[in-house]
Amino acid sequence: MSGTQPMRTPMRRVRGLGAARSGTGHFWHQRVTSVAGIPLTIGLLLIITALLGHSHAAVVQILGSPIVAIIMLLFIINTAYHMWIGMQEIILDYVHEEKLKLLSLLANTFFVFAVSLASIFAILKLSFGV
Amino acid sequence: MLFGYTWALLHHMLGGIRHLIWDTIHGFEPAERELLTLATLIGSITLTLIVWVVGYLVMGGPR
Repeated sequence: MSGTQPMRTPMRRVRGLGAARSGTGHFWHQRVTSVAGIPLTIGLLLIITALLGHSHAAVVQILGSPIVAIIMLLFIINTAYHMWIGMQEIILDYVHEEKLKLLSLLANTFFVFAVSLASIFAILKLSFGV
Repeated sequence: MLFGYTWALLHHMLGGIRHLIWDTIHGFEPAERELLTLATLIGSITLTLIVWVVGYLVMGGPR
């Protein structure tokens, strides 16, 4: 065997790399959250249309009921994660300047956590009525 | 506002289903791609209208 031949296989060298240094993990998570998003989106639209024509007090009561609140929370968490990965993918694909890329990734993460936590807080507040 | 959001959401969902179909290595022929794109666009507009027309008819609309 020649001395210049690398002992590492090509698979070993690419594993865990890619633009985000995380391999194909996000690819699969994006597929999982997209499939989960189909029934959750239908659920969300059913809930929203069911709220039409109700008084404020009735809307608070409907959104605070366990089944509705759980569907809303699942939708929020699933969509926030889906949105996080998706936006990160777009940034990694199109923002080439390193500093701007880092700032965009930070802003993306901050936005996702702020929006999802505010939404989760709102649903929980309606559920527990504090 | 909600009407626009409903359309954006449904269009994104149908576009996503199109990509999930492509993930199964189906639907890559030119005619199939055109058909899927048209189905996504027409489907999302139709579903959005259905959701809101039915929503208003059944629930009586906002007061």
